[in-house]
Amino acid sequence: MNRLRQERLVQRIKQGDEQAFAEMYEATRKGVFSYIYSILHNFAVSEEIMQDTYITVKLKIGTYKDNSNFSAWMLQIAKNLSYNYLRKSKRETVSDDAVLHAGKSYSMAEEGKPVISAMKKVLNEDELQIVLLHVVAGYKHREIAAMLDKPLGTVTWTYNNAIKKSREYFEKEEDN
Amino acid sequence: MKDKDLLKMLKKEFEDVVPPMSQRLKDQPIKSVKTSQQTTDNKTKQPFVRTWGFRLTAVACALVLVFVAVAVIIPTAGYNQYDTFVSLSINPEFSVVADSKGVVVNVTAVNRDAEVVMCSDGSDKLVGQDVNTVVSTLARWSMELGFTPSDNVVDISAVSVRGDKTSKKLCDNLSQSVDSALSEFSTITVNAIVESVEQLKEKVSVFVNGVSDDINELMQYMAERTSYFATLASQFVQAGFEQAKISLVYTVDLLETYIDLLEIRKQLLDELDEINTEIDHLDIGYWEGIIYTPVYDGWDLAQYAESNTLTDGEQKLLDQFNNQLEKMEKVGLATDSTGNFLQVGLYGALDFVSLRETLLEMEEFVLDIADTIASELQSLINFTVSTLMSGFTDEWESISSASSNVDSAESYVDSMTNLVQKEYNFRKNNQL
Repeated sequence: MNRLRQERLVQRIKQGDEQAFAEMYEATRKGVFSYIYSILHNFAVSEEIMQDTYITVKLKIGTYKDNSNFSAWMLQIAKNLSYNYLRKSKRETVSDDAVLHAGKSYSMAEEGKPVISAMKKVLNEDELQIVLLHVVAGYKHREIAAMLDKPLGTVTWTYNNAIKKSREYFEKEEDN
Repeated sequence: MKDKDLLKMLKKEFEDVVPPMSQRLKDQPIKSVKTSQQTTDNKTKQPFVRTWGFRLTAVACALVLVFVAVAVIIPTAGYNQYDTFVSLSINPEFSVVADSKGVVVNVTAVNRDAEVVMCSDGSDKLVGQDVNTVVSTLARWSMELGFTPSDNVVDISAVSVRGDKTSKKLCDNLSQSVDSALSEFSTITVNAIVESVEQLKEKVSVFVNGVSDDINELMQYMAERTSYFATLASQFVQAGFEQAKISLVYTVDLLETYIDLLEIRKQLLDELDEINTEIDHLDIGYWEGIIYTPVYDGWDLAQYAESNTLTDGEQKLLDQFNNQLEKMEKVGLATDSTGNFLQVGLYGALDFVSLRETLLEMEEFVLDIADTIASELQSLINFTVSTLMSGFTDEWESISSASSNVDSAESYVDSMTNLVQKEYNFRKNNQL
């Protein structure tokens, strides 16, 4: 979504326009979900945290300063909520870890998804984040660079490196 | 396996897992902000009594204010402009400097998280407010944006140039204000400590060496300190040639994006014209009740195909349409029936009129990128000449001002490149 359209939507959301919020949700949900997933590595938990992120956006949209970077602002909220979840889940004893245990565990929903399972094994958080934001959410490298506050060269390099690593691992797994 | 296939598989794996809006999210109303129009309307509704009695009262109040101002300003004419330094650390970290009346004169975002918090509406109005209010506001904004302190402790340290007693009082007040501002976050505790002047000196020496021992100068330094991003920008300038190379990489990357976009745009427009020409030449239509509706575009054709058998020609067109959709999906170009530009997978009803509009929108975007590239290149040239070519300025100027000295554009660029290389080696060898 281009910056101008995004800012116009934000203005409408600030006035309480639910339709504008729904449009924003549709346009950004893949990005937000993949970003959270790259931290939590669990589809079920990422879904919950994603809904919490958008609820926070609904509640705090009034505090967003116009013409700042809305995507970066929203991803920062997503990041904080994800880390809060990780902190909490470390403290709490979780009985049903198939669903609630985040981190490097696998959930039932990830069965039959060989590429993401392979990527989780070989990529670090930054690499996974950049790959998912580019491939799944469709963001351009320069947009990712702005959202994550990283130089464009770093994003491009990390992305290429991550794809190479994943492909090599995946091919090796297939050979076995 | 090709990279393309791997990415296609990854994308497919995520297709059915990104959730739609939950009922809980739908039910949550937006906490909207009032428009300035609404605010003005509210203000005008309030009665405003214009009577002589009111005016006399106003005059009397003004006189009292003048008297009080004279009484306060004269004895405190020599008050310290930079009296108080407060450091607030949650995950975001801020430093706040206030004068001896507790009025804030500088707020600095110390890290990136703090810069995010400073995006909040009203951050430009912090200077000039009371120090307790400002610190409490920053703490509340941070918590509301989801920044939780490690161990649930908000750390505050404060120092006043007037000595430990004043610092202690300041600290107590800050602790109370922040505590009450964060009352809704029950698990949070506030840890406010009095900082000594010596500790402040130590802290300042981290930023710059050789700061004076004089506390007033230290406070002035902290009051003029720049925020995180501004500091980064200044480091950029100081970093010299290596940073210029990064800037060059950025420009090259932008150029590549620009060329990609132009290619995609051209390809899509060509194919679109081709499909539309074919559709125009074929007599395709379907009956809807008693009204004959011509098929305008591929989407209509796709709908028609759901309940009708297509001729070979129609089938060929439909295949082309689906291929086109797939290509557009790959580059994130898809529109709904209202012409809105949506992300991949949401092309409810793609029609070619709105696609054309989208492409025009894309053209504007491409032009924007072209502008950015031009200005990036220009600043790179300026930066290189003014900052980096200090050792060879004369040589640079002689080449650039007298292009007739070189045979062709190519050799001109070669000369410039050699010169940059020369400067770089010179700096490298001399460890500049």
